[in-house]
Amino acid sequence: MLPYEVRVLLNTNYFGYLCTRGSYPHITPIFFAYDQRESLYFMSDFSSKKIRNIMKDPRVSLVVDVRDDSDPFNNEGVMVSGIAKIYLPGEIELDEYHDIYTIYDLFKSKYSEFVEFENGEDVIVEVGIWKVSYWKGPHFKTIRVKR
Amino acid sequence: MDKWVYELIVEKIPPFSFLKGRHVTTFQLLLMLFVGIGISLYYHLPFRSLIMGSLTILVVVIWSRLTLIIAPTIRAFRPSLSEEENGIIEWYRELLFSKKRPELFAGLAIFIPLITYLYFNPYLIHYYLGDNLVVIAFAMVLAWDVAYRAGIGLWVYALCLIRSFRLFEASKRRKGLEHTLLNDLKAMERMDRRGVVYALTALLLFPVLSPDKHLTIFVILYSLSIMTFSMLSISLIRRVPWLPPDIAELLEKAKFAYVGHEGEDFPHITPVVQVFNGRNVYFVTSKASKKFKLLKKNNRIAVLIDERDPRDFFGNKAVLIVGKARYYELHNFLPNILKLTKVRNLFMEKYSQYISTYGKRKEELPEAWRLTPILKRIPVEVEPEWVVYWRGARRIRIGL
Repeated sequence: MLPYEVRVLLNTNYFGYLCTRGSYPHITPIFFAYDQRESLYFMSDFSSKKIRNIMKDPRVSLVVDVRDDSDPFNNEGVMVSGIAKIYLPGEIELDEYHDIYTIYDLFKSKYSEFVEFENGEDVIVEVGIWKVSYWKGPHFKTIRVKR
Repeated sequence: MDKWVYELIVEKIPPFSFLKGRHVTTFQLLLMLFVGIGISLYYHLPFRSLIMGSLTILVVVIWSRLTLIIAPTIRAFRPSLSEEENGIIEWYRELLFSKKRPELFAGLAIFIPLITYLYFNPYLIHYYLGDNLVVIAFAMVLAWDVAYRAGIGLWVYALCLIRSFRLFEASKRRKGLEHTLLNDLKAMERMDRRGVVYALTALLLFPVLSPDKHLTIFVILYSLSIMTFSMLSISLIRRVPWLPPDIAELLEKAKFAYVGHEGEDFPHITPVVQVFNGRNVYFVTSKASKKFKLLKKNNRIAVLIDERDPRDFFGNKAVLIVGKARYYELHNFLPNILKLTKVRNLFMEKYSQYISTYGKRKEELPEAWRLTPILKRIPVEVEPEWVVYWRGARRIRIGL
């Protein structure tokens, strides 16, 4: 299980910053949902740069942090690293439907006002967490997740 | 848009048309030297004619090479995202590559007075060529080659200066996201730097023309004017902001940034504090940090800067800057001290409160975080290579 502080951060923050690999690294702000276990989810347009990058190299990192622009000692954050898996809309296996609906529910409860129901080109991406690096002020710790 | 006559010759006429890039001008050099040396040996010209003739050929070939680099660069400029600036660039290209072949007229404007001058003051001709008509004819062809390229140089760099001046003036009136593409502005700057080479190359003609005082003065004046045009143009084009006002404002206002790197086993992304000096983005890192170790191995990085409002997700703005990082240590700190002092002042201004808290609670910090500039804390510069801008988050779409 992830440490308590990390779970709190993942549950109470709306923005994450996702870094993927390409010819240059690529960063995008994303909305994400945490399944309370060892996966994060986000949604993206299939033709987006991050999805194209993930198809070439699925290793990604995501930062979720709380920042205080007057006191650096209050900065707190986590870098989550893991392997991304893309669920393509047309290729979802029957037994995955349950998971997909659970993910939709996670998003609905977290971002209720910002969700719209519409079939689009969006894909769901699961990030299986391998490693988390947590910091608060000047203190760091890194935890590897057994998978 | 049309091409210059010289470009067309190189493109259409064999054997030049079979060659690519620098081979064209290398072949041109060898061919001209072969003919030139052949003629001077066959007609028993003095040694000085052979040397000075070869020097002139060298000038023609260097200028040719520069011409073949400059022309496609100018034609490749993409439409600017500011209507006014786009108009200036179009106007400039139209003048350079008009069907009326203005570059030929510029060449003639130098060639005709030169020929007239030599007709009335034939000292230089007697000094190098004697009175053999074949030799004089060859020399006249060479003189035209020089005059044609000298004309192009003058025409190109006078227009560059006007273009830079007009772009600089227009850039003050930019609104919102109006801008000229970053890579085009960089290409203009590079092109203007080539102007310095163009000007210096002209000085190779100094020994050739030195027996004639007037022509010597002319070549010096020519070199000086190209030099002045290109230097002024560089200084003006460097003042045209690389990014549109909306993005620049975001960079100046936003206090936090995320720096991303391809990392080792996984990509690496960390928050940093940043400042923007109008061209580049700067952040500071500790020499002991993972980020710094990674940067030393691979300098390709991404910096994301955003403004987030938890009450209104759709009022969000973000900009992603991708480019190569350059860090300043003791050895390259001094030559850049002016720039880095300004950057340091930007940090002090933007993060005054932050820095004072740091100072007060210094004992609590790990060794690597203590603010010992340069020795332990290293400024990193990111020169944008491409920039992506988002305004407002997209809604989350759930398919049913």
